[in-house]
Amino acid sequence: MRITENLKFQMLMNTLSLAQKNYSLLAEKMASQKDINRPSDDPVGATRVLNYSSVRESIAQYQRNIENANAWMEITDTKLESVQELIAQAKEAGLNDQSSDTQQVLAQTVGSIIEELQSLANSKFGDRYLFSGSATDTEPFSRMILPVSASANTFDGSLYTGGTYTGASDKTFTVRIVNGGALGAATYQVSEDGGTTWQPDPAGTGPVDGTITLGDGLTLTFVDDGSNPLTAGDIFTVNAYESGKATAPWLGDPQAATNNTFGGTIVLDAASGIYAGETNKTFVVKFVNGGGAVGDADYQVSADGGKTWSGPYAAPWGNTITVDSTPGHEIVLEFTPSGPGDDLAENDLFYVQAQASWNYNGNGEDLSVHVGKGITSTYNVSGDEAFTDRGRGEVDLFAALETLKTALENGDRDLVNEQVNQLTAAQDHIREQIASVGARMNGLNISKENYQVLDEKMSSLISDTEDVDLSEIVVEFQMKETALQASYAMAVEIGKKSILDFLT
Amino acid sequence: MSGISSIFNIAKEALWVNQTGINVTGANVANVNTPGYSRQRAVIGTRSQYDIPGNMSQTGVEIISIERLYDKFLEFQMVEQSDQLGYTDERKDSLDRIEAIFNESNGGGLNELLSQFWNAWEDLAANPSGQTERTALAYTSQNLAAMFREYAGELYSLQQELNTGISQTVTQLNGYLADIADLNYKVIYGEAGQNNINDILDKRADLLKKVSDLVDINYVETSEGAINVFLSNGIPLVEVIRSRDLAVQTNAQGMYDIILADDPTKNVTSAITSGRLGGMLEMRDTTIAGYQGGLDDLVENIINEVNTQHAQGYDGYGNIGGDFFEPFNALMGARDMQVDTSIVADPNLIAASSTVNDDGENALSIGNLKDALIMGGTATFGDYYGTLVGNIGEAVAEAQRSLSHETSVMTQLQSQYEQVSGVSIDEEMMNLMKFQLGYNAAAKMVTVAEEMYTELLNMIQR
Repeated sequence: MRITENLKFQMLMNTLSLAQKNYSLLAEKMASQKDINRPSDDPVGATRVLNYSSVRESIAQYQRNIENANAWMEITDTKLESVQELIAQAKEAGLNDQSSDTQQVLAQTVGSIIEELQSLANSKFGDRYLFSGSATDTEPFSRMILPVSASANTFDGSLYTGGTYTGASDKTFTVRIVNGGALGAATYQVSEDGGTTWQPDPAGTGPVDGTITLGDGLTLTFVDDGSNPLTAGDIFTVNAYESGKATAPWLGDPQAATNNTFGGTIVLDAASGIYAGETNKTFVVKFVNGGGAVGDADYQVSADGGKTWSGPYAAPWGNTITVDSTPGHEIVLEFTPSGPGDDLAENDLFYVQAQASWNYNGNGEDLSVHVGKGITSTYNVSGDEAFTDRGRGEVDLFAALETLKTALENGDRDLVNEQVNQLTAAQDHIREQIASVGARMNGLNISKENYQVLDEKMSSLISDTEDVDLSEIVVEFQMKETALQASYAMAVEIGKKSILDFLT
Repeated sequence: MSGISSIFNIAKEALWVNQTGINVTGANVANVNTPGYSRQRAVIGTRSQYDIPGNMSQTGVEIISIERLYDKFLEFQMVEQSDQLGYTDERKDSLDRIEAIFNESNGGGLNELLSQFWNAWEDLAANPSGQTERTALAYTSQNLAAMFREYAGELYSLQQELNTGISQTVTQLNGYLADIADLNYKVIYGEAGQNNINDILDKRADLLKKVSDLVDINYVETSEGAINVFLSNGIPLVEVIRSRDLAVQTNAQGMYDIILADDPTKNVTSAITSGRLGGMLEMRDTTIAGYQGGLDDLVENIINEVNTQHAQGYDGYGNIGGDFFEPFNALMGARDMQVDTSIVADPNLIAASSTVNDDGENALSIGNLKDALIMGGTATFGDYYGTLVGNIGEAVAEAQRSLSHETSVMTQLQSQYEQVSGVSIDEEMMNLMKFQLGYNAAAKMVTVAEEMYTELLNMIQR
């Protein structure tokens, strides 16, 4: 082999640059403490690390979700426990010796229990109400202005209060039937001082259409859905509170979404009846198929706030749309354009809030979070489920307590006993809720612990894949360093040697 | 019988030959570090002289030629290898830069932002009316869009750079081809002397390697000594003393096609599959375009899926959800991913609710998209991106492997070339001593002949 000068230096250069390359690669690994510093160092490993990191991010989110849900449920649990205690106290009041001396005191006790319960039911977690379903911005419960029918009454239809109480302080209205008969025939008297003085029915014609005026803005409505009519001597008591709400069903003003093209007015048509639903609903009308003028646009209707739709219903529809067609209780919206050319565009939305005849303002929806891939967990107890007898609920706790209070005031023992039974049922029901919350928390805690283990495993997998073995790399580094030094020494030595050193 | 004068003659020739030998050695020593220089050797031969009076012959010496030492087949192999090396080197350079764009080893890349994006939806689902959560989601989404724009933008500018590089390389190539044609002329019509021819042959061999580094070629040497160069599809680039220019022409994609300058209808782009130019073309049209396509695909699906689900929900004002991202721009792709401007201006327009009453269910549904097998029906967005990064890593690793392979082949060829054509100082020093000795001996012969003459003349004077 003929070794030329260039070849000699080229070989030296190759050795040097190889030693340098190895050395700097290791130096990089030493500095970053990572085996994988770019995808090409280990494409499969790098992809895996990305995958593991995504999983860890998801786990972190699930853990955060579980923590939030657990915190929410812990508070729910505490509140429900307190509710249990309050119910027990109310029951005690109902079972106590009820002489004419004590019953007013007991009634006051129940009154303050109601207030406390009210504030428990309106508890918040952060700035969100615990018991309003998914409508967490809405205060779920208001004080009920509840009409109470005495236990001795013959009338067995239902009744509710209406209007807005404008009185300056709490007041008790008593209605006494003077002459019995069907609705529209019976006559009555009203007392504003608990039955001491009576004002006769001013018109003397009896409860017209079932609704009578109590005073201070309140009305009382009788509904003939039982078998026995109003009878002389039937007594009805209504405790009115300053901030209280009548129990009449209620329809909000129709609302238009802010993005709507339609600029006209929309009102409840006179043909609308009284809302007859059991629970609160949001009716929504959405225009589809490109919209059109009033009466000429196809539309869809939703009774659950816009989640599911019926229809589409084809034009023409004149100027009214019926969103709830329960006979006698229709909800009809009337559209009036602001002028010619004020058309309905596709996706124009209009909605009406319908409140059932109760004091609950929230809804029965679940709040849920992801606690795993494709797994959601419900963490709330909705107010209707915990405290009412509708939706998933069993006992109308507030109605029972208000009735108990009135019954105590009136010395109506039978009614008191009836309410005590109700409260026992309510206790049982709330105990179930507490148990359910506890079970859910347990489940989530187990998931959380599993996630902790999984997270540690993921993190060790990432470390196994991309981290360097320090002891190994230090030894290797020293080897490469020695090799580099040797290459330098050799390069210098060889470079120096030449035939010229020996020529004289 | 030979005369004294013929001794002078032989000595003169010997002096001259040895002097030439030293000259050639000098040239070799001087060019020991000249790239592409093939060592030269004086080929020395005997020369017979005839004395006029008799038949006695005398043997003199002469320089037959100055020989250039090289191996034709090795030369051919090196030219072949040059295009492989240029191709792999070019690919590795570009892929290294792509890898740097997608390097997530230190976190903070797209993968992390994607996770943050989905998590922000989950947070919003837990508190749908929370302004903090809404604003956080709007910011995270903007960051995500900006990151996609950045990645795609960097790929795009790399592609543009390569495009410019292709045009520059074609210009460079044209220069080399013209030079080869020029050197062909000089070889054939050799106005230059023997020495210069070797120099020209060296230069031409070097140019061939340079051309091959840029583009894959075939070449043949004609009987008259010219080198004809052809593209891989047989289109001649140099024919004896005439070279043919290549040129670039913008195609429908806004990229340069390579054409023949004298015939713009002849598109030769597809004939260039190796060399730096081949590497650039492949990176520009296949590799980068492929990664861009991957990003575009991902972005298009994210935009469409999120927007579709978003339109199923209601914003904070009870409106049906509008666009969350601006609709996918088919022309710009991922380079134009944007969060809808109205959402940026008012995060209350995020449709987190499945009803007009502001729950968080729709946000939860959008968060669900994280685990949905949307990409090709088999992969989540995260999987798809991870695979994309893995593919890039694999391509870079492959390019590194083939570059180090091609380099070692080239190194091997170069050392073989050095063994044949390189200058060895040891050898040259020995030659120097050899020729010096020969020169000294010849000089001694002159002295002896001169003494012989003097002796002869003295004889006459006596």
